[in-house]
Amino acid sequence: VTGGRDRVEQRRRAYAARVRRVAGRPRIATGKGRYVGVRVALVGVLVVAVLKLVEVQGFQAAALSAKAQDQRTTVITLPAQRGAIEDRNGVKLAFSVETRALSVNLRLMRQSWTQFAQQNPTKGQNFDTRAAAAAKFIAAKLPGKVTEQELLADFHKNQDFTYLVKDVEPSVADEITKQFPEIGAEVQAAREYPGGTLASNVIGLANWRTDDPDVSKHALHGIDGLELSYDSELAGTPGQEIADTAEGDNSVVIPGTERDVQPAIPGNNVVLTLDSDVQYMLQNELADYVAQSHAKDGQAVVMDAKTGQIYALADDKTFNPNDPSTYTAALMNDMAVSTPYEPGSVFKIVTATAAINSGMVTPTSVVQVPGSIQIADRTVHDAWVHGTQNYSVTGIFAKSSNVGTLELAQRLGPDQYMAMLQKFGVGQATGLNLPGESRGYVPARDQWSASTFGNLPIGQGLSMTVVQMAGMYQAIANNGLRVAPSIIKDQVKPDGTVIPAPPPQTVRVVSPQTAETVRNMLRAVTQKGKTTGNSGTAPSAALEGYQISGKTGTAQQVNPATGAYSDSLYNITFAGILPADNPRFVVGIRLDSPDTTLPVVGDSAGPLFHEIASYLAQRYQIPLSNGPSPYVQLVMP
Amino acid sequence: VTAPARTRRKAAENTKSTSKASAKTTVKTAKTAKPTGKTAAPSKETQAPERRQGARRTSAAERAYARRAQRVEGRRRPAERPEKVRRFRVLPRSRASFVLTVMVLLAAGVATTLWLSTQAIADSYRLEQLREENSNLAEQSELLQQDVATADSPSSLAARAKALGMVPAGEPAHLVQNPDGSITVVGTPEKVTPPPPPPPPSTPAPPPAPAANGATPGMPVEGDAPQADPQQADTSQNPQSAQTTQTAQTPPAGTSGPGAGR
Repeated sequence: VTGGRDRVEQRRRAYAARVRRVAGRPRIATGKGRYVGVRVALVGVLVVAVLKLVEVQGFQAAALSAKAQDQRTTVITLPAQRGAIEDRNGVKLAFSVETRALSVNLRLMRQSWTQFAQQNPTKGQNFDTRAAAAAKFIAAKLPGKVTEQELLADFHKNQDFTYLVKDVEPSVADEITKQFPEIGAEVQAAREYPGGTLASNVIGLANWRTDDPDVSKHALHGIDGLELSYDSELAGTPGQEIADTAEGDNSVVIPGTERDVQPAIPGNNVVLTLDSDVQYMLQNELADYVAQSHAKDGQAVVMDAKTGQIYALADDKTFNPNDPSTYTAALMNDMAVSTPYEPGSVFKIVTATAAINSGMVTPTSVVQVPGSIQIADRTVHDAWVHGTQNYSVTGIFAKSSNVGTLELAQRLGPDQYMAMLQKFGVGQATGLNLPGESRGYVPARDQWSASTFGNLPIGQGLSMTVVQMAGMYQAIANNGLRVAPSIIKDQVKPDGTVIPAPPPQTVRVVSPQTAETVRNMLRAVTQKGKTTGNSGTAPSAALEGYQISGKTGTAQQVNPATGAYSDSLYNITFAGILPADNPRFVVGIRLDSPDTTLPVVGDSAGPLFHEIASYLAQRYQIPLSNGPSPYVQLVMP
Repeated sequence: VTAPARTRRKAAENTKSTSKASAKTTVKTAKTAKPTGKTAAPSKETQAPERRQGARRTSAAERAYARRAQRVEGRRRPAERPEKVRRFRVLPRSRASFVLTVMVLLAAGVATTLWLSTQAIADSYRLEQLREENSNLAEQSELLQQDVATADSPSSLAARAKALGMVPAGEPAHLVQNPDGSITVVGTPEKVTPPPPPPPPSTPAPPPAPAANGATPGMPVEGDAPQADPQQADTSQNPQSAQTTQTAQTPPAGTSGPGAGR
């Protein structure tokens, strides 16, 4: 038994010796002292570590983590897509597409390539060759957008930084930046206007804004038209997220670190009341007519008779949003709303309505009309020479007798007249919300001179826009209820919710009976007389199968040279209701100083109205009127 | 952790005839308890060294301990020796199989992990590829929608209709059915003046060939780099050669101009 125990002892000793040898210590060293030493050292290290830990975690924690956060986290703005503008049938008139703007940091590029050329002189590559290669490559990728020469000129600009080309498709930009990493691609958006000049006077223009020093706030914003007035609705709300990014390059996001994501809310789509086909027709017809009549310019509007919704609003010439060379003040001015004019005889509808409304006269009442009438210091004649003649009230308006109209106005008195004028919305904002819209001008009652009441009833001495003019006829077409014109149908949120436009304001101008009487009376304007003197002023505006009610206007313009009314410059206007017995559309036209000596075309806008009405009747399949307008006697025995 | 549990199970197997409680005794009780039966004794013997294995003994030490235990037992009960040897011989075999199992498990685990991570990487490449494809398709659809919107606009429709020799219709006539069934023609249909001979059909011009060639990324740069022979000029587009220029290219790549970034 003891022998076995000894062997065990020996084994133990041998084991201890082996350990000693491994430790590499001399045999004489006692195990205890060594362990104590190691232990003390270890504990010492541990204490130091703990102390440092306490310092880092306890005292410097906030500062260090803030520093780390700073280095790492980047607030990334998520751009919001700008809403589209559509017509009433969903045809897109304006929408946004994502693009890239290629730029290059010339200073860094020069620096690195000069360095490279110095280090590798045998390669024969330097900044110039690199720039040439890049220019060639980009020009080949973007044919028609930029030429190699332009790019080379950009590369050799004496600047630190330059944009090379904008509105590049993202995939093409990716190819370019992959090939030439020194070229940067900035995320932008471009506004597309597929219709070109179509309704551009109404829609306006939006472009990429870089005025904000904060790059993340760069976005598309409207500068004109509805793009401007509905900018906040269209623009949407940019979102934001916090992400960790690589040091030195905020565009390299560490995957999975995105947090606090507030997604961008795209802008609303704005749906207009415009019908792009009608708009196109109106723009074209108007431009043609302006050219034919040698007018300076022209404006026209097509309005829904019941709702006041504008189906088309045109200037004869306008800018093309896709062509920056057309961005001139003259072309971008939407004269249909910004430029009021003296309406002339079209304005006689106020007198006609007030006279019928007062019950003083009926359309068939006979009025003795002398050749001229004296109002204060002014003598007003008719457009044609005649002696004292009997006209029916219908005849006075159908033939547009100034003298007869003034006689009726005198009988009404200025106060009753002004009350009616106010109800028609003249001189008041229409609420269309188009930028630069004019309210027109009506002299206040207390500022009238003695001759003012000789001017206003015949549409001189006050001004209005073509929309206001059509609005007056809309009241008559809509049985006396004037509905404020509107051009926004509704807005569609990104989730598809439709926000209808607020209901337009309405004003009861006259009773339905009065409105109908006036409407029927004004059918005689387009009457073709069976005997001399029984023709209205615009038989050319008539449309076979439909009863047309309307009024022509020929207003003298103020000659800017003399400051007095000119005898050669006229505003030729027309406002009409289609069809008179069941009104569907109201059309307003104004031509600025056409050549009135031209046959038919020059002195009336009737033929243009005819073309527009014919198109509308076909496009909207308007049912025919119940027979032609009844023939009325204008000149009374 | 696995080893003791396994040992315990083995012990339990060995001591099937004995109670569960004795199989589950701790090391201490196993060591100190008086042997109660022929079958219980080996279980104690084998348990003790194996428990100690948990205290990181070398296998040599294990064997030594095992032998010592054997000797002690031998001194106490020499008669039981043969049976113990038989039992003892079973154990290394079971331990080897245990180690083998662990190794197999480990190998399988490593292989699975490798396979999964390879799969994940492959998937992430595919994801990246699909994302790119998706964004390309989205862009393409956007472009096509743009084309549709442009082609759909009244201005372009009118231009194309004109190109086909079409003209706006003249004044139409209307047919009105009277209550008695007869038809009245309202208006006189107007003939439109024949359109001028349509211009020759405009076929879209084929894209200019040089532009298409110039767009090929692999094309050597010529002409604009007079000193550079084609091979050298090509370095800017050759990924292998571009490695050498990497140092020069990298600084501009990482930087963005004052207007760049998100």
